Amino acid sequence: MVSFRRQRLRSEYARKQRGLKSSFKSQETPLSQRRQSTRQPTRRRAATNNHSVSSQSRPLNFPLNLSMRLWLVWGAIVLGICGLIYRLYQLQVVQVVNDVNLAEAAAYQHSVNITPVIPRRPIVDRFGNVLAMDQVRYTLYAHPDMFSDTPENVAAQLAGILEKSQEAVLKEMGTTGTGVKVEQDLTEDQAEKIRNLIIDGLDLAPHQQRLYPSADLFAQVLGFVDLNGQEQTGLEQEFSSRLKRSLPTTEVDRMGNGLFLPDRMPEQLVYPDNLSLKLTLDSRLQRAVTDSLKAQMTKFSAKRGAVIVMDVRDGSLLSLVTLPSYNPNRYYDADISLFRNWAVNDLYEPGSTFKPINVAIALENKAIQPTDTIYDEGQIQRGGWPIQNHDYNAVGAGGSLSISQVLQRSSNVGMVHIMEQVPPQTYYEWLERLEIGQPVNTDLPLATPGQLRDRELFMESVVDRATMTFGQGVSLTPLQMAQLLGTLANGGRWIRPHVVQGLANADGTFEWQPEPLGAKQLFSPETSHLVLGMMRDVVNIGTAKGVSISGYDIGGKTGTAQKAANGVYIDRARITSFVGIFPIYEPRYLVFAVIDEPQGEHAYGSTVAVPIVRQVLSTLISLYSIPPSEPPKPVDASTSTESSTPTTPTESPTPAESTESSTSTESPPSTPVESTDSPSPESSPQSDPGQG
Amino acid sequence: MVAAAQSSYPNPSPRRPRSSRSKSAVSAPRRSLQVAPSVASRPKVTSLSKALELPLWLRFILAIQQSSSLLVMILGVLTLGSYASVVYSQHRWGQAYETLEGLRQEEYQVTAINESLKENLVDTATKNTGLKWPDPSDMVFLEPTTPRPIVEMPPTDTVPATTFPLGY
Repeated sequence: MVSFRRQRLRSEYARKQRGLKSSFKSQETPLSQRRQSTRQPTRRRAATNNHSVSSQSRPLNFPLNLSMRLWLVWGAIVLGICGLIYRLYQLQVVQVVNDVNLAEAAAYQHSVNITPVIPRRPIVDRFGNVLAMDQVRYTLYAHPDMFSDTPENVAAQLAGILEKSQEAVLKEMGTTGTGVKVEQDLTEDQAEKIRNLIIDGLDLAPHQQRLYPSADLFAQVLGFVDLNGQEQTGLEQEFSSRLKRSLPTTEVDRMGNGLFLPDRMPEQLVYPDNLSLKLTLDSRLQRAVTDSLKAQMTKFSAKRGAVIVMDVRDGSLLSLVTLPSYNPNRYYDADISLFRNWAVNDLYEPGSTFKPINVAIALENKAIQPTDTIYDEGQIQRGGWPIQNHDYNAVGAGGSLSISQVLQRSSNVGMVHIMEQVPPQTYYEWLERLEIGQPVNTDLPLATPGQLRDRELFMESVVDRATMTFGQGVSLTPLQMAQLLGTLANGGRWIRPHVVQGLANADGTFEWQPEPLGAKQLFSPETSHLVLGMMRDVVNIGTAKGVSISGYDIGGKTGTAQKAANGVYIDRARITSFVGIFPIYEPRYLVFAVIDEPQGEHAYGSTVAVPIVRQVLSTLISLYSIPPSEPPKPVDASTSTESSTPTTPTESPTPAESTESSTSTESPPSTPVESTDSPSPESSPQSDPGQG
Repeated sequence: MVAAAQSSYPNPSPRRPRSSRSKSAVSAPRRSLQVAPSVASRPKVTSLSKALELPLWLRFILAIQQSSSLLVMILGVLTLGSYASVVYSQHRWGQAYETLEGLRQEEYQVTAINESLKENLVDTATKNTGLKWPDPSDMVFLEPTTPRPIVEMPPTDTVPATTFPLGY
């Protein structure tokens, strides 16, 4: 068909040429001629028409006889589609193109391994003040090999931000190498400034660093976390499993613009909890206590001191001050011996502060009655060793004393007589029941167990039993002493001195709390009530007059113990203490102050420790707005001078001015009533208590 | 020209206005040469725009094709829309997470600053300001008294005593 058309076209062209030629011959071609020439194409078309008409008259078939070109085009398109289908199959089904696994390549592109650093939980006090928290600090690394600028210029730019001279920075940085640590502990501000410089080759690595805003206020209680993030001592170490939060390295997806995709983000990173370790301590009270303790220690040049303020109803510590202290933010500047909390870790011999416990034991055993009297000779012999009262040289024999008066005067001989009413076996059993030989049940770390004489030694030696009655010959930690006295104050029910309330949310609800101690009685409530009444008399009438605050019922007991080293009691080395319980008939607070080695002639419990307790109690009353139990006495000259200078100890130990001279409850003690209990054995091989 | 147009018309039925069949006036000059037939033998004029009669199976397939095309278009639009929303929501989440991280950092900084301010206050307060710790002798404790008994008040009149003239 095609060739036929070509033939026709050729003949038509030839005819046209002939027609044109004839027209050149003569300009004027007749119309009929022209028409004839133009008529040819129609005839041509008609002829082809006829030809195709003849083909059309056939029934409809698949156009197999279409032109080849059409077939080629169709074939090319089909090939293209097949290619696309194959590519689709390759991409979607097989997912491997050019030996590249597409899923892996995509994952490689947007996956990133992160090791999330979640800040350590903060530690807060009773009222929400933050005592320990994490802060972001940056370490600046330089890679001088990758500097686009000269190292000198870079150093010059950094010098201003780092507050060092350009030479110093250049020296740190060097001019070659990579990964050079230039500076550490940069703040967020400094890091921001360095980032804004946009210098190639500088690197800021963030890390969390623990910050202690209250500096040395809670140093021994909290402990510290060193620069490597390792916790050392204190609550930081004890509760590190509850404070530390960490996630293993996880793979998360990242978009091209650096934003994270939510599908694989670990939930802890997106919704971290706001828990903080809430303590029972009160910052304000701690500050007040620190102030008064520090003042008194400076005055008497004491080696160290500790004050424990406890709520006796549940054993929560409101304040735990140990001096000297250190700044945990700069722990590297501090002496390593300061890192221990000596109120919890070190033993001491309690002395007369232990006497109320003994009286309670005797009363509980019904060995004595509260109305009993004993005869106080002033000096006796036991097992070949002399035992005398502290004021024996001054007043001699005490005469017939009631039990309460024994405590008031802190008579050693009286105590020996009282406790001799208790069979030694029973006495020892009771001492064991006090759990002295075990560490205190507390959440402060490294509590040292007390030391009690062996049973055999105790049963054999009369003098040991005798010295036990006035608190020498047993050693325990100040916290354990506070626990025993608090148990007495709590109606005889065991308490657990603790510092941690639990893990608290921001709104105050607790996620975790330590298990409360079940109710277990040590003494009966009646016994404790009786002993507390006697302690009230100690303050009203006895050796601790200096602690009384008008309108408030305070009870207490002073104690001055001689310190021993290597089995020998050191002269002039005393450890003075005082415990104050308030309000005495429904006890709520217990303040226990211990001062180690106060210097001076008249450094006794009543002069050193009592004023501290008084100041602490007055601050406590004011801070917690505790109303007086009785209306306050009208102010007169003596009370006003006394309240304005509460720390004035009178230093005149004239024997004539005995303890009974001033019966008014407001005047400061006129005599230092508690001299050293000098037990006979100056050189006896008594087991030395842990020399703190 | 007309003949060419006619040849491309996708008409399966072999019905075409041919000179062999009908004598329509559409044909060009050629037709004009023909002699007009007599009225008696005028053939039937069939209109070109008559609807095509398709077989049932073909109509069925066509209906399926059209509906599936529509469905595919709708699904395509929905797919694109959901994909766009997924990407956008992820983008929004990422931005919100960045904001959250920034806020957390700020919270830490603010807490640290707050605490150091408190320390600063304490430092300035304890140095030579004459401030001292509070003392119970400075405090006044008041006993709360019993509240006064409630006195019944007569109900007030809701209508005001004076009526205001309208004229003012």
